[in-house]
Amino acid sequence: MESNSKRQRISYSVKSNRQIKYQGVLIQHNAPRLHWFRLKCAQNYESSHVNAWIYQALRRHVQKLHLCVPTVHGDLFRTESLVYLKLGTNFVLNVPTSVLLPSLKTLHLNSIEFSDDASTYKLISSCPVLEQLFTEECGMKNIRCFNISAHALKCLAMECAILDHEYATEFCGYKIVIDAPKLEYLRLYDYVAEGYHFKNLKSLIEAQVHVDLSTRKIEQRDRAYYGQKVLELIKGIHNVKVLHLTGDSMEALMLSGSNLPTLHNVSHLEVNANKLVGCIFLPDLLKSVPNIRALDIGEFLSKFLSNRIRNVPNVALALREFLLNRIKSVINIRALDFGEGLGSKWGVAEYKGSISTISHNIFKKAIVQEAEDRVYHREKEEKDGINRLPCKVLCHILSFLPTKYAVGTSILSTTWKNLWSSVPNLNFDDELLLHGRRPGSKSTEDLRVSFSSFVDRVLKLHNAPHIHRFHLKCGQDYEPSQVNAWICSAVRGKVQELDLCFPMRNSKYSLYCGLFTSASLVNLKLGTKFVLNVPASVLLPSLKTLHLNSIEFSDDDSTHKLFSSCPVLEELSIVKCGMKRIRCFKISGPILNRLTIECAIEDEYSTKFCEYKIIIDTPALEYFRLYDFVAEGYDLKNLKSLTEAQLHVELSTPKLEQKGYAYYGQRQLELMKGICNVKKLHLTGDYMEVLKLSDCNLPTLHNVSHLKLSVNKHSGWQFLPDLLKSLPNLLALYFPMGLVHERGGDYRWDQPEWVPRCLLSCLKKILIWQFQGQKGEYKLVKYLLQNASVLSVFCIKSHNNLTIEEELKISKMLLFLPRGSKTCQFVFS
Amino acid sequence: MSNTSENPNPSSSSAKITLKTSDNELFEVEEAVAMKFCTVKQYFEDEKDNDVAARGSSTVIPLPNVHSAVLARLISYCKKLPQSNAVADNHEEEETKKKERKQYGTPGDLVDLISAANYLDFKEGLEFFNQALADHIQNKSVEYVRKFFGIKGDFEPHEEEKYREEYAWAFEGVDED
Repeated sequence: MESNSKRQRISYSVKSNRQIKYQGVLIQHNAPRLHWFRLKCAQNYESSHVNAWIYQALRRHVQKLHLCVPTVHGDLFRTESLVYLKLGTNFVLNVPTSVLLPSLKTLHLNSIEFSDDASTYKLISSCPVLEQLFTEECGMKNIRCFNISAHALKCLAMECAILDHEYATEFCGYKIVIDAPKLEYLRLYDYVAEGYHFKNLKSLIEAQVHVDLSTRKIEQRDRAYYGQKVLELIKGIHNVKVLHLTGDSMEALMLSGSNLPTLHNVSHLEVNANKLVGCIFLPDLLKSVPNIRALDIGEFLSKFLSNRIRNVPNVALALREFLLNRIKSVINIRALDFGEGLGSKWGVAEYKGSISTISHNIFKKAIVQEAEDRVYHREKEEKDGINRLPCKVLCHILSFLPTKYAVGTSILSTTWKNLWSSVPNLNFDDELLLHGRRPGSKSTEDLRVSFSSFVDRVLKLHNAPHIHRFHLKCGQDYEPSQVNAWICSAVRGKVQELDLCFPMRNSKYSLYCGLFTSASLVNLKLGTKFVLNVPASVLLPSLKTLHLNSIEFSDDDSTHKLFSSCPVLEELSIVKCGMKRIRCFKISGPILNRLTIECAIEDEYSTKFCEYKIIIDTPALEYFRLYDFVAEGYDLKNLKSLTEAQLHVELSTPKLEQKGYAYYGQRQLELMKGICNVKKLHLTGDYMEVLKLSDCNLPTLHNVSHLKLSVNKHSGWQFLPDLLKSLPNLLALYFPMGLVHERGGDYRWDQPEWVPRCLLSCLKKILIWQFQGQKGEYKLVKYLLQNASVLSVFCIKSHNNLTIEEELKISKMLLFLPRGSKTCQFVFS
Repeated sequence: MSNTSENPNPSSSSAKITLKTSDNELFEVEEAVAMKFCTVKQYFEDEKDNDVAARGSSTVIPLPNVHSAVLARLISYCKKLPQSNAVADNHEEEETKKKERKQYGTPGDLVDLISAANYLDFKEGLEFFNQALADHIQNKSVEYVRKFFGIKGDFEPHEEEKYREEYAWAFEGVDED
């Protein structure tokens, strides 16, 4: 014996002459804890001795105890350490008044006799974590109500129907009460009890039932009485998935004469009939298990059926019909011989998970087994299958899909069934509903109803803890309250990215106001045609990006309030928005980094007049894009960090009629002064035209190092020299759209007599794309090359439409142009 | 792919790390590439903590769940990754990306790549390949997707009928192939 090892196992069969020696072992044994203590006494010892031995074990915090002794120590029932207890002796189990076995998980009672109802109940209910309870061949004659109430109990096996034993109670004069919400496995081998009261057996997976009718019982009462009792039993276990019935049980059921309840959950059924009555009952039984997938007819029944088949034709017919139509897999059915040619059809045994192995291996949950089998087969069959990816990844894949398609995956297989509902992104687009539909096949009204109910249902079933992205795009007009309810769901789901795009003809429509106080919202895109009514209380503490497209602003104050209530706003984009109610467009934000205003659009909201002033106060702004008609004024403050500006300002004819060029020239000056810190400047041809026409003197923009220019149809490059003059530190000059407007137009270049300073002193790089080889182009290039004294890179890309010959000609022409810089690298492609 | 700004020691930016795949192939990859795989990164950092002397090429990192063919593709994808994660704003860019995603071929290949990317905790790859897979599912009938990905419909016929009815709105107007 390794007395020092922590896990100890002492197992002795003690003979009387070794009593002393045995005691010596216990005393000498010095491991601090006993793991397993087994004591089996075939002979009678003094109970005080036996108790002392047990006490020794208890003192050493024994965890597993197996006693086959004539009496037990009372302290046994108050042992904290005990996890496993097996009592297997012929004695009356007197439970002391105080019982608590806080760690006991397994209790195995074999051949003991219960003393009375109350103490038995107390024993079981004093084991709070009891998971397995077995009673075998126990004496029940003192019991009238066998009450098992255990909240953690998973496995219960009661076998008392023993005839030849001194405790056998052929009468079974007790009621069985079970309250075990976690019970998964139940085995009952007994005579029919006086009643069954099963509560809470919701978790039940597998049940093995054998109830016998003893002759003496039937003499006492009639068979129907006991049939009723069995019915009670079956009703109590109606949640079961795997059911094993013996022939005796089936007989008892048949005798009940009443209809069986429908057992919807039973997927596996094993019957082992040993009597003709049980066999005859089989068709009725099968009727009450509509969802059965596997049937195991025991060998005995098989033989029995095949021999007697002609005697019970109705059974055979019912079975045949049933097996052919409803059952997918039948085990052991091969043993049946129903006659001509049918056997082979019936013998289709697709199901591989053997139910018989389950029934023998009683602690194994059949369902687990089946699931394992399924996984195994799936893995084998679908080695490349998508199903082997973990759910998390599948969810991620679904998150890229519009919700419609994500939901559609739910009927791929059971794995996918509920997957979509945990996808954090929701993307609704009513156009997808129209997709593939023949026009006119369904009225738009139907579509709206169908889309509305789709969104409603998805939102109801969706159960991801948070909504990350919510995208709603509608082409149709929906009820304002309905749309707002959808948005509300998203906001409640702590949405981070919200993308809304829907038309709303109802002019009084206001967006769900909770949207404007969402703490979670990081990204908001509104791309809808309605008036943006901003509620009184606005605070979007997390909003970093705000895109407004095609909405109409309601007034100056509320618009500014919206922008200034986003303390961490980094990106603001206003595109095609209706500005007709705006007089002063004010944008401020302490960390606003990117700003886009693109309103020069001539659709229903376009305000050709642009009758507003633009006020910008953004100390952190780095990128500024302005595409608009000329405003009534520009007040740009604090643009110290500005790196890049893209400007396109148009002059509309009605405006020019109203006020002169000079007036708008002044406005341009304001704009240019505002962006005077910029490093990279992009100007469109239209804007250059405006600058030229308004005849203003540009302020010197000292910081501009990169200039990108495009050309419009009319004005050409007339303004270029003036522009270059005001950029004394220019390093690079780009013409990404070429030197000629796409659609031709006048090419104007009046070569000045003078040379801008930047050409002489600092311009290092010129890039021209879409070069076409026109005369005017050469003139401009010649001027630039001649005068750019420190140029190091000159790069030209020819237009895509040119032939190789034309390209060759161009490259030759360009090579021969005189260059002011000796070290210039010429790249043509 | 230079990460000199992160790494004060320029020599180690070109250091190689050896990865060993499930079929015992050895891959010598640049540290910058290997560090995209968070699983490798974690392993590498743990190794570094444990043994300061064992550095760089001397460490062989085992990847028992990744086959060499898959790893090779992941590495080549990794090398193609753009420097900046600029958001594809315009439509054209989105189209090119879609085309690029289509190159990764059969669903089996994609599943292999995703499975490996998931194991390696390779975020950009997972994002890209998952999107590619999603492209395949988009607007396709149940039968098509099942066939495409070898999914076995394990619903009972009546159960499936029930779900189809229940989710009818999700199947309106999908392509049959």
